[in-house]
Amino acid sequence: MAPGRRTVAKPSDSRRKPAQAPKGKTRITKILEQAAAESERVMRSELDSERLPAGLLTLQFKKR
Amino acid sequence: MPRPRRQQPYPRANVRVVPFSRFLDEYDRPDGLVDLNWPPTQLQYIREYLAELDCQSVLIEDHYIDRDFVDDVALFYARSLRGYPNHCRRLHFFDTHLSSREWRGLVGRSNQNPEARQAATARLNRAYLGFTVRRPLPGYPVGRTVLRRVKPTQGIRGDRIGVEYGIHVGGFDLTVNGLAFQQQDQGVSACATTALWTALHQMAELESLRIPTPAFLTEAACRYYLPGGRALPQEGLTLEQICEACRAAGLSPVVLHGLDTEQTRAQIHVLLRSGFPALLGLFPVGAGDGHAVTVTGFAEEPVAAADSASEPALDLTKGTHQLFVHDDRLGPDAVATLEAIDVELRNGRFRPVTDASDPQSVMTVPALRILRRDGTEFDKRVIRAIIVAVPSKVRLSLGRLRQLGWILGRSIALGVVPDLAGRIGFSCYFERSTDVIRLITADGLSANGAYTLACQTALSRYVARVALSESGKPLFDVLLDSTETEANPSVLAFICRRTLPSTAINHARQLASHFGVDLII
Repeated sequence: MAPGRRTVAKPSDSRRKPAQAPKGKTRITKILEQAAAESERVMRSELDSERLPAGLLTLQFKKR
Repeated sequence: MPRPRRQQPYPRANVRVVPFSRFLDEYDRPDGLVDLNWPPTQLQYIREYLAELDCQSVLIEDHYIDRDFVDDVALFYARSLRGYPNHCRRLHFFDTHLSSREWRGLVGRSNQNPEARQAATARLNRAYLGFTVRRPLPGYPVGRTVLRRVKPTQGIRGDRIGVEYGIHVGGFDLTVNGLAFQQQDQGVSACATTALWTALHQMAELESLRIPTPAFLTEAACRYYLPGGRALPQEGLTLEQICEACRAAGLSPVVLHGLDTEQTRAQIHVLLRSGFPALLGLFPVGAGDGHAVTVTGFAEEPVAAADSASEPALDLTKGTHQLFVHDDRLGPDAVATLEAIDVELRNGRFRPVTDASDPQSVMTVPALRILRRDGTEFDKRVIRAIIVAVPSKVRLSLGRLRQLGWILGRSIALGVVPDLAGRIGFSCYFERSTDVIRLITADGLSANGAYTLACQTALSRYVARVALSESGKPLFDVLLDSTETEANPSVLAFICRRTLPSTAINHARQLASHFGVDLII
């Protein structure tokens, strides 16, 4: 999903207008996009850490 | 007329005081051959721990009904041939000299006027170091134990999870901040049960749940899945059973695995900063069983500034250099460190690397090195999994939260305040929205900004927070809806907490608008 776009609105004060992402690519947009792309590589294994391989759940902890 | 003799006499209560030097005399060596050293490691550890706290006196309640033990009796010990009593002995520790005579005087004077009671309560509370319950189980006497925390070394910041326990003895209300520890009894609880029970003391407090007893957890864990064939005596829980017990206690289990040492350090930091104790599933290098401990705190040092080009934003979790763990084989708040070690993984077991090892099966894995009170190594094991019981509405994963933290740190360091690149640090955690509002509105926000955050921004009960700071001073806070599964489209508030030049504010506004929110100043 493009940055700055919500699929479902968050509950908030109805008088407040939702912030609009600037049109066109600003300097900050480019930095943000580059950081987002790089984060996929840097954080990959942390992102995968909740995907459990088969067999892990049967490990037993019993040490006395 | 003589009073009729009761068939079932009530026990006599007795409270007495002994010097700390006689602490171990309260524990009787069990009959027969003992396969453990006597006194057990846990008792020796507790004695050394209390000596560090300068314990002087022990006040003993000879008859004490402990909720956890009485549940163990109901589930298991009541059916034994040996007539186990349902009561325990409770020992309270003080860092002041107290005699039985003085104690009697304190109780007597407190009875005379409220001021005397208040003064005596304050005196006892100042000196109070916590308590341990002595169970009438031969060989496994260490029941529920809560001790005051030993302060971390000077200059090192410590962050520890703790619950304020209220204690009532002799008509006085005492308190101690700590987290419950106990030795596994080998009947109702194994190490995993005990580790989970410790963690749930904290989570029950956070979520206003009833604290489950070890007997409850064992029954819940073994309700549907019994790989060992029977639930009692308890021989150890699988990860699946630990998850089942978490759910029965009203919480959601999260299991993390496959992390390297730095990622393990980061995720434990996030969990503890959030107030969620982390269970570590440990496996030995070589023969032996799996073991579980609970991480209850960490000590951190400031992270040194980095090269602004290669690392514009610092990951503050890197400062975590020491952990504190409750290990039921050793004691509460044992110091531990994280290390990366090389092992060979063969047939599902970790083995030491030798000349004969197959290079393809050699891997570097995170290990936990647990220390005794004197700093010598007690044990070192591979961390196979992190298990944490979180409130069920915390759905956002730690990985996704940290990914957004990394993106925001970099973007702000490079695009908003480039002068501070290399000095900006980011940390991520979950926090109750009410605590966040109180903290943020108290420091660095205008009156309008404080009102917008406190009264015009809908927040989830727990918000995920990305906190950006410079040399420990707050810079930006980004709050996310933790009930969502994706971090990126779930930003609820983007808050600037420092007076910045107008160009920086404009860039911050643009950044906030990319996440669909206004900048709160």
